[in-house]
Amino acid sequence: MKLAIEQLTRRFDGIDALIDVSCTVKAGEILAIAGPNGSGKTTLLDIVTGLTEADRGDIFLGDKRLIGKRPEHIAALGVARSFQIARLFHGLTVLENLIMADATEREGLMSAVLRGEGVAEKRARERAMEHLEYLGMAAYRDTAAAKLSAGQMRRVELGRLLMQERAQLLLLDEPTASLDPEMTQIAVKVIEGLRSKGKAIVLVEHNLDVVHYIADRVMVLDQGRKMADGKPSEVFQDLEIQAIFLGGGGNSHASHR
Amino acid sequence: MTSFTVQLLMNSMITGSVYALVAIGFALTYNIGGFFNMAHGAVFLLGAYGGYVALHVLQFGLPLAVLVSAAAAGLAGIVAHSAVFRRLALSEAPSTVFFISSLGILIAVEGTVATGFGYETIVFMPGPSPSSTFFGARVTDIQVYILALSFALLLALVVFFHMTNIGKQIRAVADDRELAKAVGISVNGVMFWVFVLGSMLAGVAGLFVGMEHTIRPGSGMVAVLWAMVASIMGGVGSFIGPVVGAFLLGFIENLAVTVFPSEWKATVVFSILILFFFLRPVGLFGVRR
Amino acid sequence: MTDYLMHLAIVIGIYATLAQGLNLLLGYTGIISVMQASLYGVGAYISALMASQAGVSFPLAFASASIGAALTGFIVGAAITRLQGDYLALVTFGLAVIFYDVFNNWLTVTKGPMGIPGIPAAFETKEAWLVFVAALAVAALLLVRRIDGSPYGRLLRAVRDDEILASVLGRSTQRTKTTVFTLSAFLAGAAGSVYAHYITFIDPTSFTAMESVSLLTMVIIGGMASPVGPILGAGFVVLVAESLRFAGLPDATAAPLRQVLFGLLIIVAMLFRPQGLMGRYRLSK
Repeated sequence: MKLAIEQLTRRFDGIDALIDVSCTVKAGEILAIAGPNGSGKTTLLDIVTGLTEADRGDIFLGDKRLIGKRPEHIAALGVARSFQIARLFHGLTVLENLIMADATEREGLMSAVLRGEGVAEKRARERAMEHLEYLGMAAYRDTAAAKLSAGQMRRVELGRLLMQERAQLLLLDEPTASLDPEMTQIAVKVIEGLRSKGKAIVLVEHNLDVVHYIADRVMVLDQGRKMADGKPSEVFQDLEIQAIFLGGGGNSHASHR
Repeated sequence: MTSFTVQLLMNSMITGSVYALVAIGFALTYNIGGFFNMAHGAVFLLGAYGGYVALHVLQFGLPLAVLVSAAAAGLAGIVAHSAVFRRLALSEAPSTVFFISSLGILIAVEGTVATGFGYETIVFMPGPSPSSTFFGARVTDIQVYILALSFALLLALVVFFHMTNIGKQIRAVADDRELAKAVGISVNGVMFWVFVLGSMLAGVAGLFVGMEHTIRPGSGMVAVLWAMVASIMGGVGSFIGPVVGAFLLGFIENLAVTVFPSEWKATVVFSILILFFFLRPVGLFGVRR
Repeated sequence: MTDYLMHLAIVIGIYATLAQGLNLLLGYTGIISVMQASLYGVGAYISALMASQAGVSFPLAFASASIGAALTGFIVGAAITRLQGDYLALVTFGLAVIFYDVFNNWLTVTKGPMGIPGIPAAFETKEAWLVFVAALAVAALLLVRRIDGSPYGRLLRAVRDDEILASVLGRSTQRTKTTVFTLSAFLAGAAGSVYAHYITFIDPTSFTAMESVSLLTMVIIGGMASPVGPILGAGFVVLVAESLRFAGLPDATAAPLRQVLFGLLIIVAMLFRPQGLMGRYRLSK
């Protein structure tokens, strides 16, 4: 399914977080969003997932409008995301964290009281274990998430994305942060695998090597404005764009205010 | 203005000024410590009963009783901060743990006071107080005293926040905690002063409530709930908000008793609080974040 | 003597049922509610009024009380669970005051501070009472244990840990919290009905915010998110309170001292053992 973002605008306390940002991502495509800190990348993901309201603009996934919907409804339409700082249920085990990414219909109070463990629950656990083994986390299945290192949490987050098979749009906020080079390669493989399954992927990424390697297109944000959108090889040729990354943002050409 | 209106406004000013004294500390603790401090009701209670002992056991005059109230409450605030809240802050406990602990302090102090004085209602000022008439409204001498001293304290607080080093630090931390830390302000040090000052003001308010109405061990919880309503109506995150909220609450309360039977006062006040939670959760002076 | 011990066991059983409901709220879902005693009161008043005014039999009054309290819990829960964390706790405080006002001031129905005397006892003997209350407490225990190990329990713990993440994973946190609120109110209503018919007299002082704080003490001391925690907590709190009376203190001193003790227990637990006696879960960020 195709994601279309139209003229998205959001201000916080008089500061522009996003100004008139539009972009699209097709199924089976990876759009990387790059830009200095505070350029509005995470705000964009927060608005798409319904965690932050937009002041103006519109968002469509396929023919479904996302703006104005609650996070759980947006999730139900097939949107999955990861967070800049890996976010897990700290009191749940690694295995439980993965299963939480699976279908929700087993979680009724009545079925808890009346029925035993169902087939679907068992199936979910098997799938979760497969992913944990692939990510080298099988030994930690019963460890509370709070006890994991940052890198391990990141792996569990990847596992959670793999569990969300029904999701059509994945929003990944720096999935390779705090991963060692070996794990970074695995993460890149995971993301490529998800693309090949026809998912639309938005990737916020600081590691420009990863962006060059994996992204089909890159959108550059600076101070809430869209500065460029195109193939990574072409976009990063642009001297003005290079200046944004070298100068850490706040360049004169971006400051119309 | 009719004498009814003058009387209503006058009563609202008196009630509101006392609530403001309680609300300031409650709101500041929330702003800086990030938790709703139910123990604020405990220091209120200790101020009230301290004042009672000063007036009736030690036979002190009113000015000295005010000092005793402030000292008792301030001291209790220091103990609560250093024995409980500072430790929790050092172990980076979540706000829920702060909240439950402060509830523990409140009921422990309530029990302590009840052990000494019983659960009965205590009257500080038996007999009618001499009064004068002001534009057709009756005002007792005690009320004049409460009003004058409350306003003097509120004014002193404004001066304190703007002129003294500690006051400026408190404002800086309340405004932007991380920024204040970055420029070398100790949040725990500031918290200490918030507890001292907030508790002293609440303690004096306790004495005032005892003088104007009555006090019982349950008054501590009532006081902190009133402070919470005032803070949330005005906006718990702002400086002027809780004070404005307190006067608004005083007005609503005095208006309510002219419309509804007085035993439903608490219901009216809390219904308004709950409405506020849904209609404007950041309060009148809050900022949407 | 055995009569007295059986009385204590019955009281512990009533509190254990009540605390079990609060355990679902606080321990599993992370909701601090200071109005659990109010819902307990709703159950007690419904049952007392039906039995003493309309002559309804105990089973019907008991069922009506549980369902009536659950309905109240559902309405309250649906209204307030969109608030988060400490704000929610403050609103339950306000509601506890409002409920108390209603019990105390709605004279035509509740008789106000006079209370409702002469509620027909459901059972003749202490033995029968003990069996019934024990069955109720065990049923509540089994219910919570069943939830504990189920996908539903996992959902509750997930909502407790991180509401935002739960919503991004497609869970309606508000609906989840409302269901738990309703369920815990159901248990509170059942306990309230039993209390009314056991003591045969109720008045508003049993249903204050302070009573709710005692319940919080039970859950915190017993251990949050542990099915047996509330039973231990209820037993501990009731026995500590009784031992003060055994120490020969008159009621006028024992009551406030008990309060001091509960307060200190809460503080000490929060400082040194936030997970309680049995709890696996400690409140954390």
